[in-house]
Amino acid sequence: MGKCEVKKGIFVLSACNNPSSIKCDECLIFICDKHTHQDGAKVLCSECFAKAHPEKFQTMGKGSAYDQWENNYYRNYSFWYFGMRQNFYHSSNYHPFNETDYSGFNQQNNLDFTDDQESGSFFDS
Amino acid sequence: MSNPIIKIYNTLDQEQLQFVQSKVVDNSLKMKRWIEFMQPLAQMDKLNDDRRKRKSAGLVLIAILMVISLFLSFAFPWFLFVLSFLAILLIIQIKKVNKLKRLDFSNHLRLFLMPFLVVLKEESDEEAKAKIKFDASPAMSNKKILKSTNDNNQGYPKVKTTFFSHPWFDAEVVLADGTALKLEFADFIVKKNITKRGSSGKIKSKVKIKIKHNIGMKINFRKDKYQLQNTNKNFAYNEITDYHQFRTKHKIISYSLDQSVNFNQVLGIISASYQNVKAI
Repeated sequence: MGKCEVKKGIFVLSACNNPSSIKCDECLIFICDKHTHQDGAKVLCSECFAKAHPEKFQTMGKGSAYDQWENNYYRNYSFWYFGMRQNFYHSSNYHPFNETDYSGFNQQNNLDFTDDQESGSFFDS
Repeated sequence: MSNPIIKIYNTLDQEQLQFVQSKVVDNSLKMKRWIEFMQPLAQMDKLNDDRRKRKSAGLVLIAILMVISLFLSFAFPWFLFVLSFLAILLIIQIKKVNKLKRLDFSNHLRLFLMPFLVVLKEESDEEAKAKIKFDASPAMSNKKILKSTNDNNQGYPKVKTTFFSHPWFDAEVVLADGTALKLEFADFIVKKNITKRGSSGKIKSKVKIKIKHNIGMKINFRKDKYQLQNTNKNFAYNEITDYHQFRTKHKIISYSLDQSVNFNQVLGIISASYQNVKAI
């Protein structure tokens, strides 16, 4: 029994950490139910599935992964999400931060949006 | 009302019904709750949009059949019964379309907010709350008119220009890395009603729309996690007590109300701000 190692997030990646008992047949990481995809005889994580089937992840439009997500009543967005993320990284050349990039990671919950300045609207003038 | 839409409508809670009525929501909820809140509404909106398109096509067909029946009734008077039947059918269908219109949300809900809520959920802690104000009402309603002008042409073409202001999204959220993100979106719309006289003397009208999606973003990076790397010229930098703050404004132009803000471009703006810092 392990914890799901699929990386979630777009700007900063962090592991899913949901309980997991199976591994991806491609990259061998632990994967939870939410991030598991059947690809023929193989069981793949969302990332490997998105890489294996780039043709399924067109941007919005009829028949696109987003259209399928809508038609599936917005259930289980991981099929759309990982394809979208892959497309975004490919088109923007953005390299996300990883948990290991931070030396003194110290999470604090319930932070408020703090700002020394008066926060007027962006469109005041 | 149509069955699948009624089914979803009957499952909505009080807060969701209020949103259906007012088309505005202003609340601070956990990300998972925001998605649960919007999910049936987006689903209902998609079914509604598809249904209204089909019904509108049906209305056009009924109108055509009515015109044909009217002409045929001169030769065959019993066609008047067909005409009456079609007229009743037309009235019923128009009433149904109007009922569906009352349940309609702007396409910003399905095409931007739903996917963006998913992105924010994956980017945040389980317990993190997002403060969101979202206006899903029609962008070109009378309440949103800034001004309206008519050109001074005596003849044709006549041009009536109407300017609308529609601030529709305001969100504040703290992401899992402690970064505080604030986004404001406002649409400024120019609508031109152009009436021309063609070479044959026929008078024709056309409507042109141009939408400027104004995006404002403010992002605060914690100083104990990030240091400045390089400041992109598209961002204004401000050093505040515990944060590196970046502000930026962008404009995205579109020509149809059926579309929303380009989702990838918004992700691009946020990722560009992350490129101003590096992890400590």
